[in-house]
Amino acid sequence: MVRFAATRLVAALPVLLLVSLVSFSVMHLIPGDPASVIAGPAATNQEIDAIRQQLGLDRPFLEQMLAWYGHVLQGDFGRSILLNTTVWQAIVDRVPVTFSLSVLALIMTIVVGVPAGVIAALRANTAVDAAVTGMALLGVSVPSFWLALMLIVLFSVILEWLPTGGYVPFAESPVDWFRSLLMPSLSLALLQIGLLARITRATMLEVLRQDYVRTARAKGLPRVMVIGKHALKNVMVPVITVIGISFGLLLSGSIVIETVYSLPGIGRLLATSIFGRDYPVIQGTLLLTATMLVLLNLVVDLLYAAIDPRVRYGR
Amino acid sequence: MTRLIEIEDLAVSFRTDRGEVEALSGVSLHLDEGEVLGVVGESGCGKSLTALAIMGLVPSPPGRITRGRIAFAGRDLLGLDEAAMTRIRGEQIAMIFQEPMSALNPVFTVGEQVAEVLRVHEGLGRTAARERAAQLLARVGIPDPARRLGQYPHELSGGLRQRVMIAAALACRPKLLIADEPTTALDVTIQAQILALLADLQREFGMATMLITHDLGVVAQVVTRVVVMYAGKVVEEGPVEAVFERPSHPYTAALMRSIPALAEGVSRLPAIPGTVPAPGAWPRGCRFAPRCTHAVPECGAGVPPLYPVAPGHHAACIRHAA
Repeated sequence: MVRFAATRLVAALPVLLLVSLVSFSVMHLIPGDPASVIAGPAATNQEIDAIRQQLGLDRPFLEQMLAWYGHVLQGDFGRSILLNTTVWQAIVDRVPVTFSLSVLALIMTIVVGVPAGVIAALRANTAVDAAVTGMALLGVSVPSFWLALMLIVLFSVILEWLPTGGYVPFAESPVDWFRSLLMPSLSLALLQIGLLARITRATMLEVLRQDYVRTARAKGLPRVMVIGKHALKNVMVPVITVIGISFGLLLSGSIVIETVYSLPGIGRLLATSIFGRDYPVIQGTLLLTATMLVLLNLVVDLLYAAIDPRVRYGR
Repeated sequence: MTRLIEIEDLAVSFRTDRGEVEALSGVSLHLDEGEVLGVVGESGCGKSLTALAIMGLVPSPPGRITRGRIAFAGRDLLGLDEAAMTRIRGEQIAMIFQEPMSALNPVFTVGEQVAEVLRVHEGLGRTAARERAAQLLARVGIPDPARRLGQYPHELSGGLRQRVMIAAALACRPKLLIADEPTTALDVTIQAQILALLADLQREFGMATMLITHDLGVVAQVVTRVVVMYAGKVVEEGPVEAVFERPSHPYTAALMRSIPALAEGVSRLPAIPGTVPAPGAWPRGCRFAPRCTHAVPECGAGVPPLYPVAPGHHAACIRHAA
């Protein structure tokens, strides 16, 4: 297991290198001269030169790259052009928001999606199955911004139970933190619940047909054990992968949901920096999100191996 | 000898796109305590389905037992609810399957898969169940059982996996062991070993065994009485010597002729022309008639019952009608 983890970690290194290279190249891949794009149409040549110098764009490519890597490895992602802060600080300020949102949404997804899929599979081709499958389809089809708005109308405007938006840090008040994230995470989770329920249902149906499920029944194990132990652990193998992808998508931040609920998260930071041509922030966000995703994939791989012994030995 | 299992007029149907199709139509057979019964026939003749019906494991839906009776030690199995049947399965009646590759759960250790039977049926604790599992693995001839307990099925060879299946099946010393083609998926040398092991354990535990196979050679080695099935019906049954010496249904006789005999000169092996008709496409009257060299017009008149050939030896062929 330790060896498996180590090989996986080494395999992730080239990906990280590629990701960092892409992040660095952002500045050079945009059409035209980044300095004049950043400075805006009304800028004088002097101002553009100043920006070019400040960003180091006047130096040779290789030198720029080495300098950039040197800084990044020291945790220095440069300064934001729009925000009066470093890129690192801008990201660190917003990560807790997106992370809280993602974790809550993920918990909702797992707690609702997996049982719903299992129940639908056990009651395949009945009214219960049709109801679950129908709800799952609805969850996948409903646009999240519409759902977000409808939730606000219902819970904030009509019932006045929850705030319409804004973020309260956990340290300040756990209850208000939860209240501020309940609707946004639900809006995000619904799509994921739909996907996960459908995949869990399909996988469970497949597993229930397997010989080892029949063996478990032939051994006289109670139904709870046949389903909850023998079938479910096999179902979890593909499901864990899907959960990992879901979490990755959630962690990259949702521009729509963070905007609707005025949450200062990664998604909105990325959106404002793209609109404002804040290249250092785009670079930093890109690099950090991608790194997070690579690490998350690593965790999924390890979980996968923990569940399925065949993975550990490369079959 | 006391009757352990008595099946009367068992019929099983499956719902398909073409409507309800009968896969077993009126199977009757019995098995005494400690007896070894061979059930033979080509693929698709209903051997495995009969076994699954005894276990209460006919896939349902689409399968459904439409009529008949299965009595096990005097109890009507078909009348039992799922909870009562769950207590019987694995404890009184155990079953091993053809594919040791897929019949073991890939994500649990083999030790766990043997030990859980003991925990569920005999209420053993984890440690005690594990110890008993190790003893069982040793008993079924698995070397180094303590180490094997912690291994996963994919780390074991096919023969060892089938031994693990046997250990799990025999954990609670069942009264009846159903072995559904237990050696078909194995190498020939391993086949012989597994058969020897089954025969050995059968003598030691004194359990009745229902050995399902399409291999008459296997039957000759270990079985005392034989039931021949064709297209969802029993066509012949009797003591193994009687059936081998005097196969009384043309299907049995044809099966015998298709066993290669090593000692004799090489000649073309006679095969039975045609294939087993699929459920739902069975001919009227005797179902073997279209493939039978003795067929006469009367064969299509009605499904022949089992006529006595000799004491304890019956065949469903009108040639034996008195």
